[in-house]
Amino acid sequence: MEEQHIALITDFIDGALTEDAKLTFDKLVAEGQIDMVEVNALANLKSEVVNMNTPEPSAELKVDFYKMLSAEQAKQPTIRPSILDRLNELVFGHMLGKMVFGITLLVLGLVVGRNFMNNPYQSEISNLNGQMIEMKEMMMMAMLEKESVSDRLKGIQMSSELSSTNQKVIEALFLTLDNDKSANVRIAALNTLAQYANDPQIREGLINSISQQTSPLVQMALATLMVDLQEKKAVDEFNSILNDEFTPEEVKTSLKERIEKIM
Amino acid sequence: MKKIVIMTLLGCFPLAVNAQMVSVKPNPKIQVSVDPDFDINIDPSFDFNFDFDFEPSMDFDFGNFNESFNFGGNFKELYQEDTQEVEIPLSKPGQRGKLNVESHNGQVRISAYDGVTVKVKMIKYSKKVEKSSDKAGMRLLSSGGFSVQAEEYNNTVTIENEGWGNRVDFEIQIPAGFDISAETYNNGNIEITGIKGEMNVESYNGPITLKDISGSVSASTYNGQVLVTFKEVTPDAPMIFSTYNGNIDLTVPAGTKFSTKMKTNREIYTDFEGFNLKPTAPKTERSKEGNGYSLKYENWVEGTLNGGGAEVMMETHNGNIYIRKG
Repeated sequence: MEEQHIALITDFIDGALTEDAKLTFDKLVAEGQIDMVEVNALANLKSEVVNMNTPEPSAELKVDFYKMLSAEQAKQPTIRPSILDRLNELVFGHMLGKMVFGITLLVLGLVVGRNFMNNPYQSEISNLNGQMIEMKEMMMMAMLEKESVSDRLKGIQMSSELSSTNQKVIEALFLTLDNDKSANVRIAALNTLAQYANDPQIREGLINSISQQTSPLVQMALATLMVDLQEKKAVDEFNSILNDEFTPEEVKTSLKERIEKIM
Repeated sequence: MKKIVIMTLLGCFPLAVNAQMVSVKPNPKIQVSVDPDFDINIDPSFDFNFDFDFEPSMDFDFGNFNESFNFGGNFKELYQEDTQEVEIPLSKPGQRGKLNVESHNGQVRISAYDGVTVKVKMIKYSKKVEKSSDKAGMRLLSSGGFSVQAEEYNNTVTIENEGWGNRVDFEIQIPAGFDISAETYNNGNIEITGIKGEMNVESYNGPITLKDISGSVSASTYNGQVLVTFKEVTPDAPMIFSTYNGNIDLTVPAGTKFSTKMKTNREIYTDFEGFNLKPTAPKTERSKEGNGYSLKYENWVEGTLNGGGAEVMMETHNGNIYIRKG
């Protein structure tokens, strides 16, 4: 079959060929390119298709269809619009809703982020702070043990950066005041401790330390402090120094003059 | 009640408070210099505790206290000197060393020299051995021994005179790169010259004189002045100079920076223009017992030299404090 001529053939069957097309058609038939037998067969097929009658659906069919549809619908679980859908509609239905949603999300993110981040950060800082203090304490105590007087003086200066209520620091300072080989280091420890003499515990420690002192300079410094504090309990402690045969007479005299000022 | 106390306090020291407020810069009148016009007065009325610690009988210069005290009279006639010298080699010659000297009776003189050993000269004083008998037919042959020990371990040289009775003076020569710890008691002048290192010197009866030194110092005595001349001060090294009867006289190079804390019943002088006094206010503290206030005037004079630095404490009772530009 000549596919390329099918348009001409269908037009011929429909009787819609133009004059020019009719000439071409006839020429093609004459040349034997279009077989008239086939053309007639096609024309027959067409008329058969056109004349075929279509069956009409019955009235019951329509009723049955709707009956079955509603039965099927009743079988399905009723799907109401879910909350999510309604929310979706509410939020994304309008421009304003979208904006509000965006801002809310941002704020929420910030709040949550801060809550999650902040706490570990802050505790980290206080942790570090604690470690710093601990390190300073250790440094200070290590310095107080050093052989060099200059280092020990540095240790005492470090202690004044630490809190007065720090038990370890206070103990270390008293240890230095009572045992350090250098009179000057003892004096430095005394000067630092004297700042906290209002604390009853520290005051007690200072009184107890009087009898530990052999250097006249430290003895005099303690006597001056006790006069400042008007500390009566100190008088007995000084008596042991005054009765000591190794205390030089001039020191005894000066100490006595000093202690007499404690009323 | 509190108000009254403060008012009284203010009334007590208008002069002193003025002096404290003064900034020590442009005005030549206020310049802290060795100008008798300007005294940082620790006025007796300044002392809140009514603690008048002047001992008029002690009111003389203690600088030469020892010399005049010990060598006066017929000391030389009654005592004889014996000199002995030792040379102590170092285990690591040319490296930094440490010298510990301890003496109960006698002075210590240490100076730097251009060598690699420690040279010790001991001068022993003892009662003169008598040539003729006294009335009872007895004469003195010996007046007790000496107990001087010297040892060296790992460049640390230790020299000790443990006896109290007989005086031994030490004259020690060491290489300049040495740290020194010197402790004396009676007749205990300490003199150190030309050393570079950390010096820790303590005496009881005797002035301390450190000359041309580089490094850091802690010096204390009871009777005698503390005189220190620095060629160079170790930065950031805290130092303390203390005495009871005597001046504290410190000379440092012009650019030295430190912060001072000073205490004396007498006067404080300096010729540094870059010295600033910190105004010291009375300390008010809430005392823990009861509800009272304790009001305390700390008679520390605090100041900074050339902007401040490590803390240098100077404390004397009967003596002036001098900070000089070297």
